[in-house]
Amino acid sequence: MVTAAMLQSSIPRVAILGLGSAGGHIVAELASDELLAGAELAVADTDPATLQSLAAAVPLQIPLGDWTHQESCGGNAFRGEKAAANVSDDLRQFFAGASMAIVACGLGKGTGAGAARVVARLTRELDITTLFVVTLPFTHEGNWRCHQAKRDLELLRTLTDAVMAIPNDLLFTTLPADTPANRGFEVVNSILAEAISGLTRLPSATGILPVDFADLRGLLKERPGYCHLGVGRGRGGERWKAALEEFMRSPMIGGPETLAKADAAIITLVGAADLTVGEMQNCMTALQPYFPAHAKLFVGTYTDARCQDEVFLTGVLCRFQGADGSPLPAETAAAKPASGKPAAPKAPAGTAVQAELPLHEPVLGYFSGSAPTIHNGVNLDLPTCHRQGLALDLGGT
Amino acid sequence: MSKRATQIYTGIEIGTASIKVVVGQFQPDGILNLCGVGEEPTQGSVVKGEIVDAGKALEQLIAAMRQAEQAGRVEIDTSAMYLAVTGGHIRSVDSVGTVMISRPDRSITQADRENAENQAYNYPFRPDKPPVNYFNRLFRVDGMREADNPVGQIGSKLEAEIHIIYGDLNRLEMGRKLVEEAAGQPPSDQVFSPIADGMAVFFQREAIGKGVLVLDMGAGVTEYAVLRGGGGDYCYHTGQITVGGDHLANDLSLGLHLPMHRCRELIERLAEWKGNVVMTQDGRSRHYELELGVNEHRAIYISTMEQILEARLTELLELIREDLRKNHVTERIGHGVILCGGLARLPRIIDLVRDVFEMPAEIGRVQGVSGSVAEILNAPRFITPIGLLRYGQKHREMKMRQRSSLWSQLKTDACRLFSAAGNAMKW
Repeated sequence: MVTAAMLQSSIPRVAILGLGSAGGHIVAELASDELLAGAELAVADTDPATLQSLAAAVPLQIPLGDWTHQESCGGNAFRGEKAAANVSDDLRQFFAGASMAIVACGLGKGTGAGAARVVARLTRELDITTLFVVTLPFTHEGNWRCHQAKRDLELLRTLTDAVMAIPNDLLFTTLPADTPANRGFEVVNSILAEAISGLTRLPSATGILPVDFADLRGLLKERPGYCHLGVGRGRGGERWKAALEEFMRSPMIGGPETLAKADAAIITLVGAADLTVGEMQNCMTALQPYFPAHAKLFVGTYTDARCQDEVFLTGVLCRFQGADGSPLPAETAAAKPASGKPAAPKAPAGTAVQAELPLHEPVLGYFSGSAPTIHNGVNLDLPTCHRQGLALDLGGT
Repeated sequence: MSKRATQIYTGIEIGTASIKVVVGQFQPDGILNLCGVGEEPTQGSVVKGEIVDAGKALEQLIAAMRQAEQAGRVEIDTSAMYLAVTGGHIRSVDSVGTVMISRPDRSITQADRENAENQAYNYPFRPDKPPVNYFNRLFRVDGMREADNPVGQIGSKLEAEIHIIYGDLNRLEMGRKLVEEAAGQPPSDQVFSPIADGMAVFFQREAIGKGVLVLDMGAGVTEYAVLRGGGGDYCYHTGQITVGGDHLANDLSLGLHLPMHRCRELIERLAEWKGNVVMTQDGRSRHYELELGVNEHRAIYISTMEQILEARLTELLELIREDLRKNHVTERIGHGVILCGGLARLPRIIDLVRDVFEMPAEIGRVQGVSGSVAEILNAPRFITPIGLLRYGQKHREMKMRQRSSLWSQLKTDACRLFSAAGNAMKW
């Protein structure tokens, strides 16, 4: 017999930490979410003024200012790192016993970027599954800051697998230009907060079609690019439709065009116990056509008693990037190895190279049946001379 | 001391072309006495460095071990066997451990170094992808200054980069199990082959202050490592591509429409036909007469063969070059390329390596080895098993030191206990 108390105690503890002013505001937004249970919130910043302004929303605060003489880092991430290292015992205490941690911060400035590295190392040491939700600055904040943020992101990705990078610029795709500036930031914070709370609910909700954190991490680890987050909620008759519409309008999603370009996505639908199979199926089926055929979709459905009569649709979209920073083409290269290396068009003009049609059927010879040697989408087991379309003089008898 | 001098080491390489076992002892000056060598062709039981027919491979391994034992009139010491690992599943990662130094004097201590190293060792591996070897990569003070040994430097941040080689648990276990079945004991340790190559080739040679690229081109897998300081000291990067001699034979087979065994023979006897792995000017005027039946011949131009081999090898080397560039280790190679493995004896392959990497290149030769026929010492394919013996010696000495320090620790503990007991008695 499972009692309510047992269920309550088995809910894993989620630790959510906001670093710097950007992270702090996101966490403050989260604190007002009544659905967030079993999560512990804290903010850490070097600037005491920011902490004071957030004191009402988030009572648990880790001041980093001792090292910086109660000043902010002035955009220097190294100072942020040192400041956070200085209070690593406090941070350790906060994370101790948590089964999952979510860290929110903004990159491109001092405290968030620097302290994130310390936290990444700390959670790795404590063996806590941690998701970093980081925002990248608006382009109008300056070229230098954007560049710095990119470098911070690269550094952070060497320390942890699960970094969800969200460019603030996405906001402009759907928000009208006459929106007041501070309202713009508020929208970013509240969207991020809602998405985080959606993710936080995952461990405590009952999975019908479970998608777990490992899926998310696997996705973020593979070929990190940028992420888009969206949430939609709906109630009443066709509540799934309302949730879907709101999801599509979500400012950080960037409209249906973004969905069409996504390489992977994790979509979760959370509802109360009265969530029907029909709603689940309709909602997911309606979403499918928005995505390209090759996109990796992870679809999950959960029930959570706290949802009452609402349904929540949370989506994380990923765009993969190649090593050169450009989005990768669809994963079709492996399927047609004959076109792997476009050697023939590269041949210098003037040399007489007879064009050959690619082989219609790849011949593997000795290696047929063995695990293929795929390198950058090219099957290296196929003879190089065939792949490059070399004209071979076979001689006669 | 006398006991250590007579310790018999065994190196085992389960390669794609053949299973090789070498047995040797070390003289006090570090010179290696090769006692026995055994080699048994795999005949398809190993493909691309991975065992596909365990029963056949086991028989061959036992045969190679017997051969080595009989040749050297020694018995293999099962407590000091070392196995080379390779295959498409081997990957590597650079893990960084960071320590912030906040003491007022900011002088980096041995404890800081160990702390940073331990943090880097603590890389979260999946249980089915266990680490195989750890190597120091470099230390960085304050995020920019690189140091061989950071202890004693002044700085506020120390980063230790550790290069970790890891693989697939089941496939690693496969090799261990095979050795255990053949010898009754699992190997003492496993090491990624190019590391062993580096140890064999760089024994007591002018200290390699600069990095060197060790390229091991075997029959099934081409492995590479950027090493510094005699191998095993520092390792900047490792990698593998499962392309090797079998691919050359297969390319010839499919390109020239010849059976596979003929192509293997062609590559084996390329020098006899005065063929090269780079295209030659007069290749069109020479040809290889192939007997198809009674009084029926087919002439194959040497240039066509050369064209196929050059395309494959150039592609392979370029892939490695790109990987090195992508990982920013090309600038760390100051010494050049050392070519090891069975393919190193292909005519003019060294020219190809030199051209692709645009740096000096030479064929590897084992150093500091005596007591064996020149045929073995000159054969680049024996570099890995011989290097395994050197790795084994280093590994065993390290273990001995650890054990002796443990012993002395126990002894002092026991003394303390006794003196405490004595004090208690006095009271």
